[in-house]
Amino acid sequence: MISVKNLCKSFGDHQVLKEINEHIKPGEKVVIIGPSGSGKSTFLRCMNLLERPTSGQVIFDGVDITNPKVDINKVRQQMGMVFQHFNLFPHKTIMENITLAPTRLKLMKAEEAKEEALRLLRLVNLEEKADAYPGQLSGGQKQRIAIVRSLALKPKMMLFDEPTSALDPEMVGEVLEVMKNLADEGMTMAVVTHEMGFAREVGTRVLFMDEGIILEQGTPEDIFLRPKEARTQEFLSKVL
Amino acid sequence: MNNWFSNLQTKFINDFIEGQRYIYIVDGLKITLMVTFLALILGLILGALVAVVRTTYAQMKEEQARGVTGFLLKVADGICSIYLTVIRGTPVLVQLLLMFFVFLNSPNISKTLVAIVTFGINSGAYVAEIFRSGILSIDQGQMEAGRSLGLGYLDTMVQIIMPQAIKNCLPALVNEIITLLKETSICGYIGLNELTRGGDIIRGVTFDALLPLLVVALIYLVLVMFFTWVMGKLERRLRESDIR
Repeated sequence: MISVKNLCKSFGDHQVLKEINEHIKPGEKVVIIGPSGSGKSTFLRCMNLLERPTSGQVIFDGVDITNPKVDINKVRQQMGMVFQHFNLFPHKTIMENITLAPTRLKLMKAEEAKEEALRLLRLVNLEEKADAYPGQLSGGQKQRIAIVRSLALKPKMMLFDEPTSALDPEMVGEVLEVMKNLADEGMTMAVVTHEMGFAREVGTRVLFMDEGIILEQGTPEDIFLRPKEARTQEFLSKVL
Repeated sequence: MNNWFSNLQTKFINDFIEGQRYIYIVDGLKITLMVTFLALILGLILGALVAVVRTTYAQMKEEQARGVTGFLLKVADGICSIYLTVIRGTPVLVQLLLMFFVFLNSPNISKTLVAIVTFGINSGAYVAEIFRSGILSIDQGQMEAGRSLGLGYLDTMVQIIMPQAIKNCLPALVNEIITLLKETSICGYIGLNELTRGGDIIRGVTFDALLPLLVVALIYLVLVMFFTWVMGKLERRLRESDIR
């Protein structure tokens, strides 16, 4: 589905990602964990080129998307992204938030997009919020809407950048629930998170990042029960 | 007291009714409103363009700066910044005179047009900075969300950033529009018969300064109050999405 080759990213003199090589297969749910500042968010954001890699390649569906000739907007339609701070459009209703991209990009007619939006809203039990504005919703509801907004484009893959980190504790569950359902339906996912329970339960593979490299990776059992690296053990002892 | 009052009445009749001199005020008002309105449209368009160019250039990442678009944007940003410096650094009256006597000096050109162009260009510089502050007030995540959904930069700007930015800078924008309306009173310098000059012409004919100028002042005041009221309503409507 997506391959990253020799990916490097620097902000000024600070090298955040150092020669990362990784491949995510269709249907995989890859969970990326690690201490803050380890480069996990940057890694995720390089996958849809919200951050342009300093060097290296990102190959999505067989196409090197770092090539300037590639229409990145077309690629991004197939790669949904969910942010820590939801980033719903506050001046638009929930319905408009969801239908904006599909209609503006001429992927669906207005009616069709509306129906699809309602179907998705029903899936996350937020049908009655269709005409509300984001400001009227709780954090958990906003994040569920943000997920739905990405799904409206029928992406092949979803990127989650700490989707529950900005939520009140009692709202984390409802968002993870939606993500689990999505995983069960076979969606390819890359998730940066601090929710170790989710990583264990849903992840098919866990990557532990530290100081710009993927220090260790394996199945959730490998990483959580038998971590090899001292840094991984230290990190897990602090968060578990 | 009674004497003073009938005196005022006589003056009023002499100033406005006799020889239908109120026409000076009415026609002047029409010109003032037209110049303000059209200059405002021009200013908003210019301002939006300049603001978008400047913020786009400022937010451009270093790796994008190398390409052809990067170069063009750099040139455009340079032009915009010269425009802002020159327009904001010189008095609008001097700009008006230069425009009338030098740049648009032609017997076929109407004074109204000269005024519209001058004030449009002048206002555009201020509107640009107002818009820019509005755009900068919007969280970076909004742009990222738009782009991550596959919308292009301009599309995201127009659909997502600008509507929110305009809402945030509406009070400052109202201020600029009020200033623009009142500043058109200097058009008398190029012989354009707008509202202020209308009153002044009456003063010249009747030798009464008080009433004609007072009426002119009152009209400006009412216009500004009315406009502020309308914009207040608009602002409340735009804030509808903020209710929690």
